[in-house]
Amino acid sequence: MAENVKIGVYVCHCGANIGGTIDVPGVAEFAKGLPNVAVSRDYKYACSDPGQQMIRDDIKNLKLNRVVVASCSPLMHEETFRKCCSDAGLNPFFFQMVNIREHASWVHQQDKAKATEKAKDLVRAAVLRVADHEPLMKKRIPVNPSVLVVGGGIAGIHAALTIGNAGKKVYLVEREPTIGGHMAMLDKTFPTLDCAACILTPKMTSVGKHPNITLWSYSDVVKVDGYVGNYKVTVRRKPRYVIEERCIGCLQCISSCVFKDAKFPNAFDQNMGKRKPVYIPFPQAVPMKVLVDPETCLTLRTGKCKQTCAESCGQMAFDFNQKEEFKEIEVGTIILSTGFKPFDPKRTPHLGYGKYPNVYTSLEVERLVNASGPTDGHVVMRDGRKPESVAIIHCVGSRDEKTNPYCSRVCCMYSLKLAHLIKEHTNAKIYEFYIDMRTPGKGFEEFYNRIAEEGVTFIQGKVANISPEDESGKRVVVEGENILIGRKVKIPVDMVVLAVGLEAQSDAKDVRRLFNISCSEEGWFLERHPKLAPVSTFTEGIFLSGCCQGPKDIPDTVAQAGAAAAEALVLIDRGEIELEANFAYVRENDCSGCKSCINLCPYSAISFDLVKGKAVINEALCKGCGTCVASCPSGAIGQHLFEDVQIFDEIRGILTNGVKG
Amino acid sequence: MKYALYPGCVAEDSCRELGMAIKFVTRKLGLEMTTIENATCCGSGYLTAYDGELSNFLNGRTLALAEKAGADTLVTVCSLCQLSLMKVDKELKRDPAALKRTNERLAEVKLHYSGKLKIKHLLQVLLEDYGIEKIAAKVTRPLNLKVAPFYSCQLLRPSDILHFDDPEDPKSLANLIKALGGTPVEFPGKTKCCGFHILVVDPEMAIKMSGSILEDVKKRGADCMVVPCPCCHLVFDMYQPRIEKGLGKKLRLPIVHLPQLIGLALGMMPKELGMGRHVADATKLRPRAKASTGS
Repeated sequence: MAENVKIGVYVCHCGANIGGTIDVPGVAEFAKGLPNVAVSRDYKYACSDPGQQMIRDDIKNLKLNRVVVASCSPLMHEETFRKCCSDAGLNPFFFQMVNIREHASWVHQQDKAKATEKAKDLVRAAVLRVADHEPLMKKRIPVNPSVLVVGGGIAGIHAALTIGNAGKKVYLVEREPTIGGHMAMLDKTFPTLDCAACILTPKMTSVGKHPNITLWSYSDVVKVDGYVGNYKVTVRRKPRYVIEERCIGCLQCISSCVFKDAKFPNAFDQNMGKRKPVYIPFPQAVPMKVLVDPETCLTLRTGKCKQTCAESCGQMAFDFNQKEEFKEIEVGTIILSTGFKPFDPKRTPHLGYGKYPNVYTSLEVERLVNASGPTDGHVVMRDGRKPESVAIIHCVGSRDEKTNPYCSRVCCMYSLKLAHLIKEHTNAKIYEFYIDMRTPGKGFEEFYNRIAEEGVTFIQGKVANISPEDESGKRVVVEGENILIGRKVKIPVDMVVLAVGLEAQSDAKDVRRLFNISCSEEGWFLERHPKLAPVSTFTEGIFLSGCCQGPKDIPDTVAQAGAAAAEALVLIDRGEIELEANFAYVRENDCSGCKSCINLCPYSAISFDLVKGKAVINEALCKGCGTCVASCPSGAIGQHLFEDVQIFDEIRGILTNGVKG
Repeated sequence: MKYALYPGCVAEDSCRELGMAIKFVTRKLGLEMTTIENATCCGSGYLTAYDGELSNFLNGRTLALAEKAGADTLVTVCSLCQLSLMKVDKELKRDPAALKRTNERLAEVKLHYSGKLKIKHLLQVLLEDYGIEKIAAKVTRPLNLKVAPFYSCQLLRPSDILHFDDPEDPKSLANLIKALGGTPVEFPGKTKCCGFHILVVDPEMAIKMSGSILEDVKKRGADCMVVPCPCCHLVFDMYQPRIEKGLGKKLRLPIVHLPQLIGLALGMMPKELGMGRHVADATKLRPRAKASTGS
């Protein structure tokens, strides 16, 4: 212990939160008798301005060199009081916080006497501990100003443009051959019925042309090393079999392909349209470069083809020997905007998807109504007929214990939109089967009224079953209930549209491991705090935006993308970040090089120095969990703020009065 | 595999023809089954809901009797029996205290249940143990009939107790019909409830429920409908005249028990299989000489 320790103890009432259960003046009085305590006070709200001023004055006037505040959770005010100490010239780590609110007052409201005794024990523990604190410093490390944005949908596009416009370098990595994501597949967007492509493509072209944005499409991230401010990322660029720099997007190769007719399913059109082995996903693709599908191209599959595509290319851009390329980049922050995948309605077999050809998903219908879709914007079914009656079924895969319990947030609105578009294209009779109509956004309720006035029939009730009306298969019967009139309904319709919900991408659990972040149970990436930190993660320097964090519509996605960009710019603008001071460290003389600690670290923060034969802890990666400290057989690892002597002080303080029954 | 047959109440009395058919058909197939003597009613689901302990004792006794007869598998021929026994058995297998209490009562009548019995419906036994190819091989008179498979809801659901076939889109009975040389008639009502349980409470509702099923089946050109549960059989067959009255049209649709359908394909005559007892005349139902054409 250092010499001449002088501790100031401050016990807070926190209004009635603590004062209502614990005898706060009594605890302050008790603390006066503890070793090394120079002053002990109680105060109504220690965190307030006058409260903090009182502490600062005591430090100056009474020459305190340790401070203990007994109040709420450190998560709330540890930083507040640490700053208060450093403002008064005292090292902030000579401060110890005691939680007598969540740990005593709030959980033992029934027994005030015992709660007070517990508070005293906790204060004693802190007073004994803080005497053995060391002065610590928060190290600063520089932040690389470049940013990696993973995922090129509207979220990634907006984030990349925001950061690029701020003058910073951005790498935008997208695994499909084009950016645009799901928004590019839509026809019109709710509630304004803006054409999706019209509002999206200008942003897409900006990305393609932006001097600060390096766009790597048809690529994915395979490795992430490093830590906040200094990430080393390996990106795999998949082979298009076309030299990107040379392709000018004239599409001559597609017309010259040996396949005279397009006959392979086009994933962008939800496998309803056809394409050739050499293709672009859709007419406004960015980058406007073709690619060759190795599964269907004759050259790549069999080696035998006239290669009329390559012959017709005026830029000599074809290279069938192209291999995947790995690029290593260094960035300071990463924004994840990897989006969602639509729920697969084969998991709800009673709705007949995949069994009956007249049952569609909403995304398939988006492609049907879209003028650049497989039917040129005509709503015709697989048998060529125009539907005269359509049922739109809400909540497919959502709000359901058996599939996904959550609400997917966008389906009510897009179902209304599809009702409008289908009616516009076909004048069919439309039935919307819903559970609740969720239309909370700006202009959303008005949109609902508009669609109702257009003559769409709304039936509140779940659909139990869809089955063919008769052998012809022309119509299917939708069996449901109309709970507002208390009757079952059986409605024969030509076409059924399933409003499928949103789910996390199928590889979300693998991707999250790559970036060392967490997922929620349903697979959405986990935000640091659902209300106050929706775009940050528990990993410093990695941010989330868009549907990868949870289902949301385009306005919210763009807002989040801007927020993530702003958070990244905070780090970049500051230029450096502070590391937490409670990291573990190796006492080299004591380290025997047994390597027991290395694999135990959940953050891969420990490496082995082969030259010295000692374990080395990376302070930036270390999160201070203490696992290695406890495991070291030689006791060679210590942890700042959690040294053995400090922990034993606390234990002594708590158990001084013996174990109470 | 050693089988003990639990006929249940209905197969012994109201649907006596089911009992007859089972005897003949299992013999023809070479399936040996000892009939459990002095078993009691399963409680039809009502008992389990009303007094779980009593249901455990009563049905536990049935299970113990099956074990006493030297069987490792108990065979039911009624969905209600299947579900009731499965529910009780699941409880006894899951909760050692319940099994102990049950065995304490059973000890009074010198019985004991080890908790190891398998419980299968006849359809399960035929498909899972006996084998569909073996059945097809024994067919001497392919049915050449359009047969609608009615699964009987308590054979499939709750699926976490019964673990048999797909509760939403089952195929087992349809596959059996094909193996017997028949053509299964797919219809959406195949997994629905016949309304047996509310027959005494609200007969009109039960008649509506079963009526819509029969009407649909008839519209699709079925020659008959096969039901693996005698309770469903009571509704569709015994109540057919009332259903016809409710619908305002004649149906004349033979409702066939599972072993009866198999018996026909094995060359037995309808009268032998007890089909003379049916209300909706089934005596003229027999395999056709060639495949039926048209609908």
